Amino acid sequence: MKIVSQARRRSPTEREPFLRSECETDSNLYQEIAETLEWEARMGSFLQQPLVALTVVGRPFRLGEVIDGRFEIVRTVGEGGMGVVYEAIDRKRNLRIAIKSAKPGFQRLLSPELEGALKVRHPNVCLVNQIHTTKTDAGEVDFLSMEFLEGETLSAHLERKGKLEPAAALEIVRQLCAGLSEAHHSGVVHGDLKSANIILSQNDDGSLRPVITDFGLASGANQPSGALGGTPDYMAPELLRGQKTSKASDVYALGVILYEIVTGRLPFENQSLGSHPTRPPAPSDVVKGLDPRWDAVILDCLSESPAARPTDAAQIITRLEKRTLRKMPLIVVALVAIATSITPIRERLIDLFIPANMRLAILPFQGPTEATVIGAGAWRMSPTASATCPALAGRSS
Amino acid sequence: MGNGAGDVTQLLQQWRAGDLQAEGALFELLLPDLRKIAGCCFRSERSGHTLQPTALVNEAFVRLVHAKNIEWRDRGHFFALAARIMRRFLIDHARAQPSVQFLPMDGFPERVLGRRTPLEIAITVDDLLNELEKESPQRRSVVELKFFLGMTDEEAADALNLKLHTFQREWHRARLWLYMRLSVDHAN
Repeated sequence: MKIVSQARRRSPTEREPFLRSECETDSNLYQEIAETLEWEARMGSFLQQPLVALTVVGRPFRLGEVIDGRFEIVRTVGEGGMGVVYEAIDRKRNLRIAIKSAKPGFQRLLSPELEGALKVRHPNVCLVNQIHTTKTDAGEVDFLSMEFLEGETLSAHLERKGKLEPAAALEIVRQLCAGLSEAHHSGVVHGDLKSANIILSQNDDGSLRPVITDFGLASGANQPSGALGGTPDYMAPELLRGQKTSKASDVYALGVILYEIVTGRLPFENQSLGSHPTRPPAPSDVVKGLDPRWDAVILDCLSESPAARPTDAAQIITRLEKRTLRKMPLIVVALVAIATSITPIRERLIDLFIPANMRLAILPFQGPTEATVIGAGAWRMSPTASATCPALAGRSS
Repeated sequence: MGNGAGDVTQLLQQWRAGDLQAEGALFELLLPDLRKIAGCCFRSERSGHTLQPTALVNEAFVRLVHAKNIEWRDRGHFFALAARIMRRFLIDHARAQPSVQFLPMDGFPERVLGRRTPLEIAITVDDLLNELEKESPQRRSVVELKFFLGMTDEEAADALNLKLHTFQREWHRARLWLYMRLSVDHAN
């Protein structure tokens, strides 16, 4: 059937040579496929559309259409069961944007809870500008105008390239934690966090910018729930028992993502969710040689009990870095600690290692404990890395 | 309903093993949810909005997972059963109320559709499925998931625990079987 579906995507003139080359000398296979193709052509879309809900599959907007005299639809960039994402031009602001729209019949997807998501302003959270409603042939359609992000999803990247190297993993995790922490501080729960909802975009300077998308889209409790049913791999155990999504269930999902990033696989792979074991194998058991500092943090995020998980996503990165600190030669730690506790030297050190925007973020820190952390952070961070995560630095204590 | 029907997981397993009593019990248990789902389809049809039954069945499943003793790994069985109940419900409903209008069946070749209304086609497909079941219960399930529940190939393959390409081959063969039978019937 694989050859059949590939052949069907080709033009009639290309098909014959394609089949010949695929089937080589197997004339039976060739015959079978040729017959299947012929019957498919004759049957057309016979029975392909379900008996009910025949119209739901339609997309709400046409390419080239201008919605509300303002948003010009350029192309479809993604489509799921219940929604479509378009690239569009906002004529009013002369800006390339993304439009995410519920398909007709799924308006409830854009729940009032989504209003909260509009409050979140952070480089690692997709910027949602506004919720709109417009009239189409299929009735009223809700849509979101939001920042256009270019790049593949984390899930696609992991599938293509496998697990990430520790340095790249740490950088992505740092930014994801910063974004999630900021949203949680604004009182917004994601509810459907997964690697397919993270886009690996780039900053203008070419540095990596992982962005969490779809904040608040899963927060309505009574939606036709692709969100709940579709991605059980990321669902915290309490959600399976009927509890509502929470910051703690987001942290659990983040733990699953972290596990995927460093091991290239899911924590409970090949196991049915009904029989969740309490603990997945430690990441360092899956990837030999992986720095065990990842184990404690990830396994804490995946705790059965919500109360046992880190209460703030920012703690995750602090803990990952603190463990690194212990691995540094003691003399370096001591030197940095002393140096950073003496104000003039500290300022000079900061000038040396940290760019201006980062400095603004860490200015409020006082006292030797935090100074040590800052020192260590400055020691380790590359200028590009630190420049992309000011909010995290602001929370690291 | 009653407590006897409490353990959905066990009933699903019995149903999978061919226990017709279990199917009856499950039908009773799930009917309120599925009736609501099918009702939504009919209602929304009139208002010009349609809902994807798959999403609604999923929602019913998630609710049942919480409410009853049912395991996630039984999701596939649940969908196969839901599709079967959906078929039963839609056809019973349509037979009882011939005024129910199904939406136009785009893509039905002229020689198959003839002068039959979508409602008549649906009832004929339902009858033929009872025959198909004798040849291949799996292909009967395939048609139920695709035609009566509106699942994607990926979802349906998952529900039947088949590889995608195996599923697509079964779907092709089931459609072909029905196509031939409908064409023959129409010719007579």
